[in-house]
Amino acid sequence: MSKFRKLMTVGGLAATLALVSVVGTLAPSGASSHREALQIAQDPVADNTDTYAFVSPDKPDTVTLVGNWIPLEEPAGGPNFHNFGDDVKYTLNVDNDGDAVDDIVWEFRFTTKVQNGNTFLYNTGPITSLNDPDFNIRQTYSVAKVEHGRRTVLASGLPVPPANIGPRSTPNYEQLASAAVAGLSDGSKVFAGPRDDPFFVDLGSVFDLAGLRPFNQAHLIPRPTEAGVDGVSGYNTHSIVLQVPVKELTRDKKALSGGAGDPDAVIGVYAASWRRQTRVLSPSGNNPLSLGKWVQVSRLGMPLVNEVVIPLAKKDRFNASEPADDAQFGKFVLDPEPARLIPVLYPGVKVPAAPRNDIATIFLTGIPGLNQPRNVVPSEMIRLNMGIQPSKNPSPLGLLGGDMAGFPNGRRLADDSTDVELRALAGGTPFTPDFNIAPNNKLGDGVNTNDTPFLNQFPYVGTPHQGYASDPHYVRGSATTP
Amino acid sequence: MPVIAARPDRRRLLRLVGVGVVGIAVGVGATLALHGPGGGGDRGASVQRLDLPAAAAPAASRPGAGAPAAAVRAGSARAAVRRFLQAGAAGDLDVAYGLLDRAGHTRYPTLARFTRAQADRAAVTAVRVGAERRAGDGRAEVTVTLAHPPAIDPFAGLVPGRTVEVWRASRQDGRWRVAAEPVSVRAELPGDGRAPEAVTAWVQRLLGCDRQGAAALQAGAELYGPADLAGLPCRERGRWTVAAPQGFDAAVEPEAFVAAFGPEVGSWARLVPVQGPGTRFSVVVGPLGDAWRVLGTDPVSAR
Repeated sequence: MSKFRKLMTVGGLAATLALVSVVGTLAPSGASSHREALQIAQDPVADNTDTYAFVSPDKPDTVTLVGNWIPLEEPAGGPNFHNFGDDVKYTLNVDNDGDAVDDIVWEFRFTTKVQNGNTFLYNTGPITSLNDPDFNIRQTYSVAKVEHGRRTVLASGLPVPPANIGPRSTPNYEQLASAAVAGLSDGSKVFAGPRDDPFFVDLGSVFDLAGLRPFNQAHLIPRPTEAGVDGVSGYNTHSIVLQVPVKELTRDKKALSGGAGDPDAVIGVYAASWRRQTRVLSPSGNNPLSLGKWVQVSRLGMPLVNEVVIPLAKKDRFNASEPADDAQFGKFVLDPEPARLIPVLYPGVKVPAAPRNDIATIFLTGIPGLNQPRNVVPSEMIRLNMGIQPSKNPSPLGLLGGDMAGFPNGRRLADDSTDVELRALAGGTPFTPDFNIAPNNKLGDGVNTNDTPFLNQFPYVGTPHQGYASDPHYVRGSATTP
Repeated sequence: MPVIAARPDRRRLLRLVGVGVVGIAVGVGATLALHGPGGGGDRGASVQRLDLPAAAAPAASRPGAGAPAAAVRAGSARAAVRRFLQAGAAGDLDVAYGLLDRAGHTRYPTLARFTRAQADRAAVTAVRVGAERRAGDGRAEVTVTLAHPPAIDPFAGLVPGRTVEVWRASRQDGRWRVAAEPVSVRAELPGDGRAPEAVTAWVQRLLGCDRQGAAALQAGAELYGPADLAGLPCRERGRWTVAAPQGFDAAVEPEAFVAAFGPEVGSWARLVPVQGPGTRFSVVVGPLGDAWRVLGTDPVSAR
């Protein structure tokens, strides 16, 4: 029996068993991925860590979508540095009519090629261009666009820049990264590759019983007040960045005529990753075979919804589900656990009682008059009003900072979504005036900016940390106040 | 909907928030679709809650989100299948949706969901309706020949130039309606005998170290399989021969092809062995319409 047949036989059996299991339990069929959910934490390559959507600051007739995958990449993690998964389908999804069903989907597939299998080296000399013979482990990718029930392949063979290894291997890193920016046939621009992780949050304290270092003394288990520590500082991720003309995103394919009040101005955005149902390992050490239908294993629009609002038992179901079916998770948003924990862990702090329609508005429908589409079906997406021009003086607190071009109207790289969501959960917003008082409207983790600067131009996400100079996690947050 | 200024000021922000609060009180009806039965009382709630009469209102009842499909009538099973497929080909998916049978509407409760799912079916450029076979109980199976824009890519796998498909129509609610998926699909592929021609032309280009010319004979920019094999003809001068094609079953390293094109690659890809003065390997080809195109290379087993 040929190797292919053997593998297919094993795969077919596995698929059948998987089907029986699914029928038997009525459980969701996919493994899920994301560090916030049990299954996805085991699958970093498919783990969608953050999604961003914003009107491009230097090209306001376009919108930039960013999906990040692979959490907490150690920059020095060679010799086999992090890569996108050849067996994963990555997507950026847009709903432009508020019905919670994708209207435009960009799909990305990657291929890894080893130029020379007779060495252990990622690179056999300095990498000075994307086709440098010394660039040994390379990735390329294809992009397709799905719209109106049709899939169009926009490009293939696009290069992914290498990891930022060190001064000997990648001496002109940004030059390599810039060369990986490509134009697509629909007028979009694309980049895929390693980047600094743009998220900033005090992971170490937040996951230590919801500690906020600037408020340490107010915690049920008090500690001395400290400045926040950016737990993502110094780590990289893998970004797919897409810049799309606004008129390609609207329902009628026209530029917005009514500005922010245009009925087609609001889009919903999320990212997802997909794997085939069955993975067959090879006893000879060859690459595993992936068989069966594609199933969604990770999904992310609004930050922190699946991370801290959806309970453990439902997280992987959330990752496998479609936004149009988000009503099943509505009760968790209307009575979010973190909001219930605040008065327990910070005695004396009162928060609004459930049902939290204010939270559902921010997380699921968008805010009326700002970023809520007509006839909205509640679902977890970033909602962006594309008619609101980029702010000349952006506030990291977005709308709470008086900046309507920022979170939760879309999400920019510099938006401090952690602080905004903490305050929203505590009711420290104008939506709940009785609670829009200190400390509710001052809550924060003490990490207010990213550890590295963002770029002023596409792809905006900062240069990845270099392995040689790597010192992840020990860079302090920039601020001592919340 | 208020027009929002490009640059915020405090007064506008307050007005916006005011609109938002009103929205919470009134417009959050959509949110309230999330309330399950007994979803908690309002006592002490700081945010006003209004229950919609139809909790968890299905998206299908929302305008633009797939309002109930207008029933489309067809006089026979053949006519229904023809109209269904032609509407799909023309992008008139609301018509196709109106012809969908009950099971199809259960699977795709809104036009939007049906539309999105169509991307996973090959686009249709021409429809020829053939024989109809009655299957009893008001059902019939109709054989059709469909033309597609041929492609081989890592998203759809193989899109053959032509398929012969059997579609099922059922008499439901006094009219003929069509299943969402075909009963069977058979791809019409070019004869295997033409595969060596394609590989010969590709190897000839490589013998001349013309990678660009060779790329024009590939299915896409990506070349799958070991990276170094395609470079051998340029380096190994001398006589190169191309042998008769084999099934993909014989592949030594099928993984990259399966990863790229899915497990179905085994049914449509072929291996064409090539032999140089000092080396041999296989060229993997796939059918792009009526021609074979190169997908990549595969090493020859050491055994």
